[in-house]
Amino acid sequence: MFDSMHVSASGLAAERLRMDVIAQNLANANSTRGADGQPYRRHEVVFRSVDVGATTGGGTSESATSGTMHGVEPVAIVEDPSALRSVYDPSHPDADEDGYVHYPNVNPVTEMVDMMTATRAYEANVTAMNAAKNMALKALDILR
Amino acid sequence: MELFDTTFKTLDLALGAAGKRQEVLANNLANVNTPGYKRLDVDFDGQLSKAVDAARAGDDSKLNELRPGVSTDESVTVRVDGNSVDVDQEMAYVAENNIRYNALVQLAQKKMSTLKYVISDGRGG
Repeated sequence: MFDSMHVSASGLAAERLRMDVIAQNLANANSTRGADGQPYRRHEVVFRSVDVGATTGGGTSESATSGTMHGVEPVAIVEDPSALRSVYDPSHPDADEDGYVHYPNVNPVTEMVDMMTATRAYEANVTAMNAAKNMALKALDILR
Repeated sequence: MELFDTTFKTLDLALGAAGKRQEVLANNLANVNTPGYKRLDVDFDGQLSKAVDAARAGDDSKLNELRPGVSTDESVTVRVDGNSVDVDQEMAYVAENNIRYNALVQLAQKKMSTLKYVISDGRGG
């Protein structure tokens, strides 16, 4: 019973991390100089499901009859390799020899949509956790 | 007559299955943004009705080896990222499973109070 709460907790933690990364992207939407002197690049979280053996085989395979669920796990935060946004502004201190400034490849619209997905997924996990909690409490009533 | 009969055993199994299903549904929801994840589910109803049919035909061995099995659900459509979790559908399943669990708990309570009534020699309980 408490396993499902751990699973939901892993989902909550993962979505919160995603939210952190989205906030970082939005905060750095105009950072033309990072720690390495290069413009900031959009970051993305990579999720992986950690259920053991349950996804092997398809159909009605019951290989994982007692397989415990382990939820989700963030495996990496990767940089988006897509092209940077170039703006002609020769007076900018970070302009290149042709007068172009390279801005981060952060698209606020994409980030907003990602943020909504993360919020909804977070809420779904909260609901699942509440359901598990109610079930556990209800089970205590059996011997009342 | 056994003190804890088949009804108790089946209720126990069904409660276990509902608990397991909650775990599996929570796992689906936790992986809603994991590319390539395929939703899992527990089919206890199907197994139970098969076992009940067998028991009616005189073979109640299946009722004893009833276990909630977790399997990949291949019947649902897959999104572009290879994930087959539909949040609305999962939420509906969570609500349904919750109600089922509560109903099973009530059945177990009723069963217990009947037992208590008999133990107290019919003087309330």
